[in-house]
Amino acid sequence: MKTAINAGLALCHCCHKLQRLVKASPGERACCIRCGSGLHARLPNSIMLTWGYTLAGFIMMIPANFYPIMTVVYLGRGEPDTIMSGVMHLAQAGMYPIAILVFVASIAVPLIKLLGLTLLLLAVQRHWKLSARQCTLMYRIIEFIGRWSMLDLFMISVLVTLVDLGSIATITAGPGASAFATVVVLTILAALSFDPRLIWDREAPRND
Amino acid sequence: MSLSAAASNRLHACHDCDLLVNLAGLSVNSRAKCPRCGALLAHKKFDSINRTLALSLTALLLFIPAATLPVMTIKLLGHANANTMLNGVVQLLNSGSWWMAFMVAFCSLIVPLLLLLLLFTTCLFSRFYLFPKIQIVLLKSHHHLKHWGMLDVYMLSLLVAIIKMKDLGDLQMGTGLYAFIVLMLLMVYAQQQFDSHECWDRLEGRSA
Repeated sequence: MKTAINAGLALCHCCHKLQRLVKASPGERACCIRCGSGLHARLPNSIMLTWGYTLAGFIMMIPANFYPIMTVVYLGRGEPDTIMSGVMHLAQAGMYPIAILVFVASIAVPLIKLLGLTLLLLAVQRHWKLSARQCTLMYRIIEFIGRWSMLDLFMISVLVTLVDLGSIATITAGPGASAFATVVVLTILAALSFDPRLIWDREAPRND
Repeated sequence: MSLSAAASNRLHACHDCDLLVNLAGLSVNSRAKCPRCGALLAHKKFDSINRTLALSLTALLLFIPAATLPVMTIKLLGHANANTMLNGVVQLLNSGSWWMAFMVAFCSLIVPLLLLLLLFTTCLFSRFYLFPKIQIVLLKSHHHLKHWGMLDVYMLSLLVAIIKMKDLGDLQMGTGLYAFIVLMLLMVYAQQQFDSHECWDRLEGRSA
């Protein structure tokens, strides 16, 4: 079992060209011979950037969940809905599959993503003995599910234009929606800036 | 490392765990998985460039009706209102949620459109070995943008919006919805058929 970093090789992050990593002299950076992107054995500052985005994501979860995301006014009455109260209304109306879908996309997925990334970061930093294969699997799931959180935002944008019937019924977006959009962006950025190869680095010389 | 030129040509490092894997002799329509972490390292597709060209061109043509024709119309107490993908963004912008308007426009309109244009031009240039410098820029842009195209998520949110609103008033599906469904399927299919590795290899003058 030989890894690229042990062989003095590096995979370009952008075009996936495997090449020799030449130590650049101070003041200049190594570049990919094929596409010209910066070449590194590991994503630079991966842990620090991922921590930053993850913590910012946790903080933005607070306004996203406590401020209303949308207000439905029907025949002059209506009150603002937060993400959770929107889910409750759906459940009370008997639309359980949709309630579960919205709950999973808007509350469970961002939270699982942030907690999962925190676990991965701690595992890498504290050298926890977790199965590297399972950690990688978790990372892949985190990377895959992140975009589905945008569901609620797209739905609001559809409803806002569809239900624009003057005094009869209107739907407007609330400040929580903007905060939630920020959470989604931050979680996607966090997942992209994490380098899964860090999980494997600490168990490199096993079968060698 | 003493590697023969031929072997080093097909040597690849796993992007998830950095293991060196030899991909020599990978036949068309077969996948190579990392023996250590199970990541999909390469998936050679049959006739990838021509297929991507056809699919992305069709999708680009469908983009116009999908974005501008009414997706749904709601009738409530004698009033009717329709929504299109474009005026969803305009409405959010008018109501002051510029950040959310930007996010929705970015993920559901701008990036999918850019991605389709990139797929089309990259494959066109790669097919006829034109403009290698521009091809590099196009392939790099595709790499950075591919995570932000979310037409499939938008599709699901349309579905949720339909189910939520069907009790409120008389809901009618418009031509835009059917155009959008086909566009979404074509987009996913085109992305799946596109093989950036093949384009990079052709750029290096190496037969894939």
